[in-house]
Amino acid sequence: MLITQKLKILMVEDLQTDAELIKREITRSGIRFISHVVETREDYLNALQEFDPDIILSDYSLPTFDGMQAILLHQELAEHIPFILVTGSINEETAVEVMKAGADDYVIKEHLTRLGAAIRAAIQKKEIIRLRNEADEKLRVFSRAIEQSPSSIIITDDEGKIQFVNAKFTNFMQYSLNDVIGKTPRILNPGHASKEEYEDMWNTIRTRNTWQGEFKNRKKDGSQFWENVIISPLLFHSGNISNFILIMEDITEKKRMIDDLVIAKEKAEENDRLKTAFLHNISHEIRTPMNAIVGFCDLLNDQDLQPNEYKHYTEIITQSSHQLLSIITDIVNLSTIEAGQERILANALNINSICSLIFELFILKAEHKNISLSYQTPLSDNEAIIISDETKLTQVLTNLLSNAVKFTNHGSIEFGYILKNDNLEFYVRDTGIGIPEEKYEEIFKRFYQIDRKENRQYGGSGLGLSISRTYVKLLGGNIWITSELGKGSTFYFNIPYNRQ
Amino acid sequence: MDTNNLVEILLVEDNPNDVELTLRALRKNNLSNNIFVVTDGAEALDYFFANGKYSDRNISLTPKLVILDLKLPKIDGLEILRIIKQDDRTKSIPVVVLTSSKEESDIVASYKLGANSFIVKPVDFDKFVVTVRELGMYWLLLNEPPH
Repeated sequence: MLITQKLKILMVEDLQTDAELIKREITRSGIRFISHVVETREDYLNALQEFDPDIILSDYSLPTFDGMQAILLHQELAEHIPFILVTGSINEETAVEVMKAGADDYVIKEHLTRLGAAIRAAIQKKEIIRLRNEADEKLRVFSRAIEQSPSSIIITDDEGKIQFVNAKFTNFMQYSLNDVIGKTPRILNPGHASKEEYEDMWNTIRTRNTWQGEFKNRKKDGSQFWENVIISPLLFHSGNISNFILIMEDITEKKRMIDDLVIAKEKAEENDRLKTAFLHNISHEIRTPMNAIVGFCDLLNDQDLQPNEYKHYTEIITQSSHQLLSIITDIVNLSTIEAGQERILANALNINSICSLIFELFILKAEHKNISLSYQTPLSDNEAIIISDETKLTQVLTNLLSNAVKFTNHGSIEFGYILKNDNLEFYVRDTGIGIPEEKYEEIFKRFYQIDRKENRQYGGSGLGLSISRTYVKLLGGNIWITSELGKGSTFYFNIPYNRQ
Repeated sequence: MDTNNLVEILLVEDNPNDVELTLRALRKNNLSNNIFVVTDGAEALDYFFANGKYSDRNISLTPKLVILDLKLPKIDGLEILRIIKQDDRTKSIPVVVLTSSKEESDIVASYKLGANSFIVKPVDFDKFVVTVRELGMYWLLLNEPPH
């Protein structure tokens, strides 16, 4: 080792002459230096702090201090500084003790010519120790970094056999190092990744590139999870591969979130599509009566209109206006349902009165189409009083009756209720066109009717049954249908027979 | 109605109110006595190709003009337009498409399929007369020739 700078030498020496001799010898050996001489314990301690020596040369016996104390303090406070005992002749035992206590060397004052070489050797020795400590500390940090990394880490040999796994790996995967050592990481992935995937991975890392990919891996207990895996080759100086390192991160949650997002996006798109279809359909349903209103209002201005024509046109205008109104009511009801704001307002009501009201409401329309309309109310007026939502119950019955009249061209319509297992089961039976069995569920979906071209002549918003089903559910019951194509349909719904 | 009589205008329309408005307006403008109405898409095709209840119709007697609603039961207007504009027996009949909306896509699709003109409900018959004139059909359809 080359000592280029001036060496700072701390000398523990009580004899001025000896100190001079020692300095002369050091100069002679070609070492450039500055020195500081102390002879008490107190000065020695101060000098260790303030002079910050590169080396300590200490006499063995001093009036108030000695070489043994100096070396012990040195061991305690400044172990990294080379320490050489420079003394008059001492016995072998003392020398051994001092060396054992941590001195790097000792030089007898009678043989000072050896001092230069001893200083050089001691400094070099300490430097080597320092470098080794530094390297060791670095290794310890690297080792801790891998061992305590928040990612699972596997290190394999150049053939891919596992040599090391870190704590995260063993904790997360539930495999111990012994379970996996000497095996390939493929044991974590039984049959999920394709042969092509493995080939691609090996081709990448064998050509000294980093490979990244996702694997569906399996823990020791068999549970599966998604992992993002980065595999890099570790290279010797020569460029040959010494090991592979696999850094793995659990991405199951991330993947699940992505899946959820995709589902949410698709749902949003589907909703958007339905909304567009809704607007398209509803705009047609609104335009149809609007066209009639505008068209026939125009005709009313005609000068040569006959009184019977005049009456006919105003009837059409009135009927179209009602149709428009009922579509708008349906849309408003639907919006309230959609907004989740539909509430039940329960009060005492008489179901016999409701049935009679419904009958009054539809008898004219039925007679107009030459259909007979009748209803049955088996309970007495006293027994017919229940607690429920009158508006919604009436609305459901109105919707069902309105459909029955619409889809029945001859025959009869009967409605009413029976008491069955603490439920009131309402029914509306017609002899209309009927509904095929495979459509029993679909008809309760929104816009069912207006989506189907074959029923176009019947008009309506296509929302009535969907609204009815929601209302019946709010009332605590179910709605269903039995039907025979061409012969007629019966709609049923039940609500609790709640007399309170 | 004897379907072998010369039908001058075939109206394909399912909504009775719209039928009434259209017929009245046509008559008001002296545009033909021989108007025949069919109320769904399947019936329209039967009429054109003399099938079903029109099987004894003389297929070569084509209407001079078709007024076609787009929203029809059973087979919709665009499909009928596609079929009759692809068939040699019917493709030269002028078709005026009638619709309740000004949907861009409906208009584009109709013209692509060979519609000759396009009218939005409620039928504006001043525009209809202009349309018929542009098609060179006005004098043919007029009941009384001009003096």
